[in-house]
Amino acid sequence: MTVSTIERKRGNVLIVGGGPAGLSAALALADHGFGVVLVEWSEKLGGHAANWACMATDVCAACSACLIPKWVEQVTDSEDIHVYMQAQVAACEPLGERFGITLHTYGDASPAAPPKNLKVDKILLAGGFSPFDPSRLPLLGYGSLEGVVTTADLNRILAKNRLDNFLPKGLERPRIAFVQCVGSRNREIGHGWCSQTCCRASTKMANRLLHLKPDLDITVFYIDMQLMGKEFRTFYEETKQNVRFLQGVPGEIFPDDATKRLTLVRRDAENRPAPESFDRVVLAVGQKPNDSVKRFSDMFGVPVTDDGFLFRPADGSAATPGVYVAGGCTGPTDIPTAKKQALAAVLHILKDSGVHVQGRAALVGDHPAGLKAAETLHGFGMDVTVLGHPDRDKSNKTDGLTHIQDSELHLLTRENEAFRLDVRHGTEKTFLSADLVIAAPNSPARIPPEAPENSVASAKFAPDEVGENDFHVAFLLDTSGPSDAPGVRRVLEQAMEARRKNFEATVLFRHLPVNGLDGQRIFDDARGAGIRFIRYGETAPEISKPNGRWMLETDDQALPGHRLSLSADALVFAERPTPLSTLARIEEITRLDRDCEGFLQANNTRHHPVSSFTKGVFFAGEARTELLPSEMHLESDAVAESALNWLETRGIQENFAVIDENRCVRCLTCYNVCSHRAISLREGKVPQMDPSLCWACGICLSSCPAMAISFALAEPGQPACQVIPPLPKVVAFLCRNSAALAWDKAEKKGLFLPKGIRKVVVPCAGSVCSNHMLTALLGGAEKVIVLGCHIGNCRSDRGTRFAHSRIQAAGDMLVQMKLTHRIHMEHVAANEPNRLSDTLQAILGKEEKNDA
Amino acid sequence: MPDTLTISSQRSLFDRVIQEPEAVNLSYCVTCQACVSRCTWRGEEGSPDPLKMLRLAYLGLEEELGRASDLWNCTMCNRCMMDCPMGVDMGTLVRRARALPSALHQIPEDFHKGIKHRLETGNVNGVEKDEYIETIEWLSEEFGDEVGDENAEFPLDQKGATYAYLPNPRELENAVEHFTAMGKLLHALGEPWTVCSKTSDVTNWGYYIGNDEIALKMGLQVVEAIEELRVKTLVLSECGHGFIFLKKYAERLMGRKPKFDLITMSELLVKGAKKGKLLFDKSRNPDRVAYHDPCNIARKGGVVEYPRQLLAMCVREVVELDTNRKYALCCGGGGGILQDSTSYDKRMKAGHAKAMQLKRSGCNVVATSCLSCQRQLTELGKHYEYHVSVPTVAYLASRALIL
Repeated sequence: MTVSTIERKRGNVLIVGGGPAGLSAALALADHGFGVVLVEWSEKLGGHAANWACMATDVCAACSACLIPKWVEQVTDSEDIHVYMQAQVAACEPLGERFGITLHTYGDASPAAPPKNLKVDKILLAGGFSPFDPSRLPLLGYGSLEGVVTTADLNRILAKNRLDNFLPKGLERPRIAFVQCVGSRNREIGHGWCSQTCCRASTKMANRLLHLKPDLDITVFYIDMQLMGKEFRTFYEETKQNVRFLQGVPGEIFPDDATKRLTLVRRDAENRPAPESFDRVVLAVGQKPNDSVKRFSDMFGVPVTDDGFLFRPADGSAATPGVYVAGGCTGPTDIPTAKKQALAAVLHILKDSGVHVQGRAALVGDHPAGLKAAETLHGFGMDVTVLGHPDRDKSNKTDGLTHIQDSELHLLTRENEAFRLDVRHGTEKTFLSADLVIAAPNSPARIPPEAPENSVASAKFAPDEVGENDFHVAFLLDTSGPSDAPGVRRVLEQAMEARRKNFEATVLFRHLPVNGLDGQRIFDDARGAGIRFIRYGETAPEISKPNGRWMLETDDQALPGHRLSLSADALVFAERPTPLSTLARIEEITRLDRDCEGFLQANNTRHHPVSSFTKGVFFAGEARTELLPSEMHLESDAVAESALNWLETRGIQENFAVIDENRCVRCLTCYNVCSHRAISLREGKVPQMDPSLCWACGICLSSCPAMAISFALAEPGQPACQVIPPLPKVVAFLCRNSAALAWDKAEKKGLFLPKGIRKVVVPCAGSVCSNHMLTALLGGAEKVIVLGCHIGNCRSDRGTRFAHSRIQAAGDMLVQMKLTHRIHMEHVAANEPNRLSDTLQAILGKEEKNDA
Repeated sequence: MPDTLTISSQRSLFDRVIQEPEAVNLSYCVTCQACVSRCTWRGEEGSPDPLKMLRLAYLGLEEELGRASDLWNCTMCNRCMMDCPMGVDMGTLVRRARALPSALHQIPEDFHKGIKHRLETGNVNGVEKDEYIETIEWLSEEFGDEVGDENAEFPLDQKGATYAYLPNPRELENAVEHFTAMGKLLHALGEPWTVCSKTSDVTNWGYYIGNDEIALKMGLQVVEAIEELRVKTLVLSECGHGFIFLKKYAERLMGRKPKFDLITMSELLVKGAKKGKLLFDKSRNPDRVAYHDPCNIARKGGVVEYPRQLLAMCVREVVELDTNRKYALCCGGGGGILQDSTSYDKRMKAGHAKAMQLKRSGCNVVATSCLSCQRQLTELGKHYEYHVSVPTVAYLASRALIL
């Protein structure tokens, strides 16, 4: 491909790095009409995440790793993205506002390929991270002791879907230890930061290990369990039922002389140091900057932070003119955060390229992240209306935005291919029309109910007003469940302020999420400033006020065997995350389920970090999840990019469902089953498809009793077309987002896949109805298998659930004939070729394998 | 029901300790507990709990800390702080805590006696100056035969000599042959050398009990006597804490540098050999020899390679123990425990991991460069029924020396 063929109307962008950040930026830029050159030094796309195993049991654990195969497929298929594998940028030369790039490719295929010269308008650096090499801490035995592995190794083991090569043979109940913070939070080796992802990774791995082998005895040793990220608090509490979590990490692993088992010393039940043995030890290795940082810094002039990562400006703008950064090279990130950073970079590329976008946006609520996004959209040329909260200060208006204060949304419908928002404004009723809607209700800080009278909420505590030197402030966190990140951050900042006033400050906590490089720095400063930290155990401190001063009696996990008492002049409580009452209203209006913690936005939309199941409806801020003030920019940028992306791509619809009104019986089943709100009711009774909102998942097709719905394009699609005899012994319906991708991978890897299968790729497992299954059996198939996403991972929300109920329904019909064993429902993620292979083998038996 | 302790903001010990250059990081502790798992006791009954000691100090519970038996079970080996994510120094905290008023009753009886002797006579065993001179004269008589040179003698108080040698008190008691062996090596170097009649003891028990006043007095006894001789370099007998005291703390307490250089036997000999002044015959040490790193020499003092280089010159085969250098397991006798004659049971538990490590090595000769380690390792061998002889590195060099 020559340079000229990738010249596009809006310009060309060079992306260096093909991991989650690079892939998602490439896709978004292509959506916006940019040409993309993606340069990846290795021989595969996806970065480290491409090696990560799925953490689902049958239920999705929201690890995000399954997103990678889909992104790789989309990038590879895109005509607007040109990928150079095994390539590196050798030189970058400014040409006015553009850049002249020299690429070296060094793949085996073309060892002596001449350097390629390209001209690009913008550059996005997404060089990723490196895992910490634990052999730098020799006492942990990595590389010298058999059975000591890293989480990266365990990912490869779990990806195989079996543990035979991991666990020692013949053990009754093998014992596994996870050791957290290996190469993280270690100032002595220059890695002072929390790597953000390992607590979640290890907890999910422990859960997955138990799913594969329920009789494992697993312990996770942690310094400070970082309960952050959407829904992880709940996941952790659930996992705690089956996994032992212990505060305190071992610093040495050695083989016991007698048993040769891996032994470590920790405090026992009597709180005395004592040895304890395990069969396998998993070191949770942290993220560190990789070699690309220095090269990028030298070549593109991007500054490097004290921690050695590439500097990413807090507002997401260019790090140096025309050069943007995103992902693991900017600091420890998980996949959703990498994607958000990528979207933010894309937004700024649009902005700096002078892009204008027409359209109307409505902001429901006035959370700062939402307002920020609204201002950004206005800056792109959009008309934005803000439906403000009644309690909000009326003076707080932004120029150029239309504000309707004291307003409440009471109906959200579709009209003329736009959203219609019916609004109550005082006693008046009004409505407005918008191309997209951002739900961003603001949340007041709330003190937990258990806080005694006269204690203070941290947001209201003012060190300036309370006392003199020697005044003692006690801050209390986590008393009725883990505090959220903003609550912890506020407490640390208040405690620092108290110390500056020469007060004594004590923070009593169970978990102290630091959240990011800046959070770690604040925590370090706080310890250095002499703030006293006490981690209490399972029970919260006892509070009394005997003589006008607060008395707290508490445990200290670092000093077991003692009760400690301390007195304080002021007692400050962290606010707890309290999902808002206004969310209930939005939930009702938008027909969206809340997550397990009461926030909006289900986990299965995390591939679009701020989106909902309804195209054109976005979330900002606490509608979705908690947010630190420092994360507002990232959130609002991701919202603004997603909104613009929707506006620019909504006309491009590959396929959608069509309702034949003559056959429609107005039963409204389709209206009820559509998770995407693509079906609205005309005159309150006639279902009407809005193609721009349709995901072409096919759930309505398979649900319609009158068979009145079909796809505009028959291929790919209707399962019915593909179960026409003659059929082989097995018919398998594979979801295009999960099992079908896993099948391709399995084929590429040469894994066992039974022959004699009719492979039917469907848009969603929920698009397969009982009829299709029975037709297949009648057509001669001996078995029917539906392979869909893990529960909670369906992009159409309820597809997997529908598939289950249809299997059930078909099964009910087969009970009389004793044929229920002929139909199966299984869960496989896109990154699970091995589980797919094993599953098919388990159902179809060894006999098939011999045939293959 | 556990007793309730009242947290105090008056934490004089903690606030003082974090002023010391090694210990500034104490307040950054994140209670990761890695130190608990790296203790050389490896969880034997009686294991000290480093984090517990730190927490008691951190929370101002100093009386409780002073009463904790951990203080005198700890060998101050500092293995617990290796790879500590925050770089916390435990040895300094323990040493200082031993001087807390509530901890004084824990100081072993032998220490009171030894310190009294040392301050009065300059020798922890109470060897008077006259006695010391007699011993030197007696050694001197035999010395000509030892080195095959009838004019050779054990020089005493030779002003302006290049080297002065300061022995370990055990060299005057039950290891006199070690003293002679050191003399042979110094003689072979060919430079003027001497011993000093005013100081016969490299040890400093004031350091063990965290008492700066006593430690300074003991330090001055050595430093001033050696300075009077106007030698260029003081050569230390193989003694861990004596080395670390003179290398690190003497200057801090005196407020000035000593007017002489300080060198360990192994460094001196390696340098001498490299200059061709010493020749060794490896066949005189035909066994496989493992090297045990003394905590004060290696982990705290950074002297790691000289002893190994010296061994490589004078024994047939050198073997590494499985964790070594700065990660070496303590012998279990450090921190003054060995000097307490009632500590046998405790020392054997503290050294259990070490004994097992020696067994795993399969070596029956383990060299070291600290006479305290030497005694402890020898006793461990007997206790755990593993035949092992424990020469010092310099002693092996002396045996291999070709005169």
